[in-house]
Amino acid sequence: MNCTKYFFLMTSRPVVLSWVTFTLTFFSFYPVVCYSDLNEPIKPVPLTVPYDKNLASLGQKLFSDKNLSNDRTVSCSSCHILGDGGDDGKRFPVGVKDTLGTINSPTVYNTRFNFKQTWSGQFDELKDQVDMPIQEDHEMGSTWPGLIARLYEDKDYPDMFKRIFGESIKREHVKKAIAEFQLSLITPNAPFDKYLNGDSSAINQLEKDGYKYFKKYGCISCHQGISVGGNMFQLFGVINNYFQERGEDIRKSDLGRYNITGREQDKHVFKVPSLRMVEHTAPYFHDGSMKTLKEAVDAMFRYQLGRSAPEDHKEAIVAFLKTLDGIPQGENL
Amino acid sequence: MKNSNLVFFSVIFFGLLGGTAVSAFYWFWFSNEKSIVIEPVLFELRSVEQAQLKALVDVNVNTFSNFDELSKQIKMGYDLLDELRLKGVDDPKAPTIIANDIFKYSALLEERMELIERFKSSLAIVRNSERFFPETVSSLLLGISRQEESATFKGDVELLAAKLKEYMLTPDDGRKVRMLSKLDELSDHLNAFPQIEGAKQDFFGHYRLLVERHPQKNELFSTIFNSKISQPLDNILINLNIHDRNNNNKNKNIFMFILCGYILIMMLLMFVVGKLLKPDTTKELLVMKERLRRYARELKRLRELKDGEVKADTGDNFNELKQMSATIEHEINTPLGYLKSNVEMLSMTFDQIKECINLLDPKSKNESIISEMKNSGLINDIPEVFGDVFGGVSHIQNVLGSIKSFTSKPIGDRSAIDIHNVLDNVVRMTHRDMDKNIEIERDFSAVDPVFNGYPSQVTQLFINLMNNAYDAIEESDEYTGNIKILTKNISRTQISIAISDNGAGMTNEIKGRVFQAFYTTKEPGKGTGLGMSVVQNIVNHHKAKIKVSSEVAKGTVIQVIFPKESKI
Repeated sequence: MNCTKYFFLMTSRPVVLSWVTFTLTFFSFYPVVCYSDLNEPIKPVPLTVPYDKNLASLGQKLFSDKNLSNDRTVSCSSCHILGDGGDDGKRFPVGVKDTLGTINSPTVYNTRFNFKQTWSGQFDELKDQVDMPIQEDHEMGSTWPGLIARLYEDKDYPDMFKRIFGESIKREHVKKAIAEFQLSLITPNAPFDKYLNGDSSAINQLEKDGYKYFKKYGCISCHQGISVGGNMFQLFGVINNYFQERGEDIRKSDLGRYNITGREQDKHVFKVPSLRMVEHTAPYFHDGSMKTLKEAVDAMFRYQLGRSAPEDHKEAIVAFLKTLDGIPQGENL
Repeated sequence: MKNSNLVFFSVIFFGLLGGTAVSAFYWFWFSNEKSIVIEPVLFELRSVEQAQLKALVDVNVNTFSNFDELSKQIKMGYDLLDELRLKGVDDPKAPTIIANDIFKYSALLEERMELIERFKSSLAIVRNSERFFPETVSSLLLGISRQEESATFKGDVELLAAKLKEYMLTPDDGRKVRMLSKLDELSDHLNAFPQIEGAKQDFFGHYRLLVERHPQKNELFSTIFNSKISQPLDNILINLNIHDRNNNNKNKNIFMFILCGYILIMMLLMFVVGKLLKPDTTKELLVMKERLRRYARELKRLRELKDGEVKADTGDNFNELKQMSATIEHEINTPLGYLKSNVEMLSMTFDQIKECINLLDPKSKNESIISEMKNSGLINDIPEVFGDVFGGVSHIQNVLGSIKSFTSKPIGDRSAIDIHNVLDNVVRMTHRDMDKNIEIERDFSAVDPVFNGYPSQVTQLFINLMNNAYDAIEESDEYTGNIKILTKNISRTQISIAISDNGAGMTNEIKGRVFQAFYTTKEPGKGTGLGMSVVQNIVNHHKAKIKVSSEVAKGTVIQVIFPKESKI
């Protein structure tokens, strides 16, 4: 790049950006009036998302393939039951040889909207995250060479990989395929999304009140965006110490992000989970300690918001949370 | 010769072709070679950075905002950093100096994005507490004031709330410690009232949280905004440019070496080719050179020869002629004097003898001899003979006079001459009575007719010219003669005298020999053949010029131009 071009780019970019910003700011008054319904901290899930269909269908096959686990007893879909909110409905997932996991399995729906994957935000990308459950001893307990050797034994995989990637089966390809399938998993058309899109009759008055309280009590501070969460970290136990009052020993998984960063300030810090499909993903929290949504809301009020609220408000909030469940959608679903 | 030209030009042609090829090779392979292309990523990063800050401000000012945009920008930041590391560090072509800059920059940006994550958490908490805190205060006060015992702490609660508000505006560690100790104190006091436990816990919880997290949040915000990460980014760009330029310079040097080597090889090739072609040309050249040298020698010799001849003509021969003329004049003039006087004396004595003879008696003894002498006419013829002899001698004397005037030094001194007077005299002196009618036209139009010269010589000159003119007219077939004398000042320093006649004129051959001594076209005994020689002598002596133009049967014009200030 020559000097002139460089100079032009360096100087013009801020100018253009500021101009665009100004223009958008100025004219955004009109959209505010027209689409006031949309100007909410929660955004609807898009009806369709872009992904590679071939890759996703391969991923779907792998996702439900028990060959991925060491003893061929579990697959990804064993703990992420696509028909049941994307999780297993257990406190801790059961892995190979019936070993118990240490952390509640989150839903695989809407993971593409998460800013990081897993409770502690260990992975930036879905395809990186695939490594963990496959190799974890208490989950699938596989090794990549063994797994790939097994895939070669299958009658379909070699051809499918050859067709899609143009070469033999590789670790990266497996990860990419599974991640692509997860990218296709979304839950659009939730009643609340319809409400946001202007259909005021999509949710009833109680649910509308619930949303009002959701905002009023400050749940909205962390649970916002498309996923109603899933885009930030937060300390678990802001006002009151959850782990002291839980009455259980502190496990390694309770340390949250500290396991990743090793910083004191990241102790008990978790990714704020998405509240999409929240009705179907009980039990709640990283340790699966709350069996019902009501309990979870109570806990949140106590430990995170540090305030008390009337029961009817909490019930309204629970009613509102149930409107966040959309219709599961994904490749071959 | 043709063949060698072909070889020579083909060598030059292929030389240029090769040079072009070398240059093209350089342009295609070396120039503008970039080690790595990371500018787009860096520009993208710059815009993402700014978008992050913008989103940060948005979420900070807007109570019901979502972090989607901010999270998206941070995710993009991480992705771009990965791309940057992949292209700028992991690439084997990437310069090591850039890697350092990239590490520095990505460390800074990652730190900032980490801070943004922490800010997001803090913001969510602090925002909730800030919004909820007034509510907790009022509910606590309500609870306290219900009982008289606890109502005494109302002021403390209000004071603490006011202090918190102040503290949130201007955070101060000392004040924080004092506030917290006071808070603990109050907490102990209020423990005695279990009725207000809930309100108390809300109040204290949020109070502590705000004291801890509110300044932290603000500090995070300012830290994020004050982190100078654009400078490291610029450093990457600058260092990359410098590196690429240096690299290209290195390549340029390599190219220069290649080019120099190529030129040397071409020069060697041309030298060899030249060496191979040389023998033929040198042989020819040597032969031609030898020939030229011979010609030059010959030419020089000829020129020397010619110069010598010319010198002899103009110098020695002329002087010899002069000397000889003087000798002849002297040797002939003296006997001629005797001859003339003796002939005169004889003539006179013969007259007396004739009278004596006439007085003799014819009837004397020698009567027969005397009568024979009388009758034969001899006595009558003798005077004629004497006359002829006398005329011949006179002619000889004339010729000698001419020679004298031709050879001798001028008589008299140099003086101013009025040419009009001179010409008047000349016309008078040379007047001839002839059968033909002669008109002499004098056109003295010179305004300043005076110049310096020897009067006798100038007079002699024009006498000769006038005589020639008369002679020419006499020779011609024209009935009337016409002599025209024209004087003119042709410039301030020159005076021209032209004498033209309508006489017989001269052929080119005669004109070429007009100044030759003893050359004459006149009848024998008439011209001396020295007239024009004398004229030329005088003209040369006066540093004048003479021009002769003549046409047969039409006439002759002789123009003499005298310099007025001639220094003789």
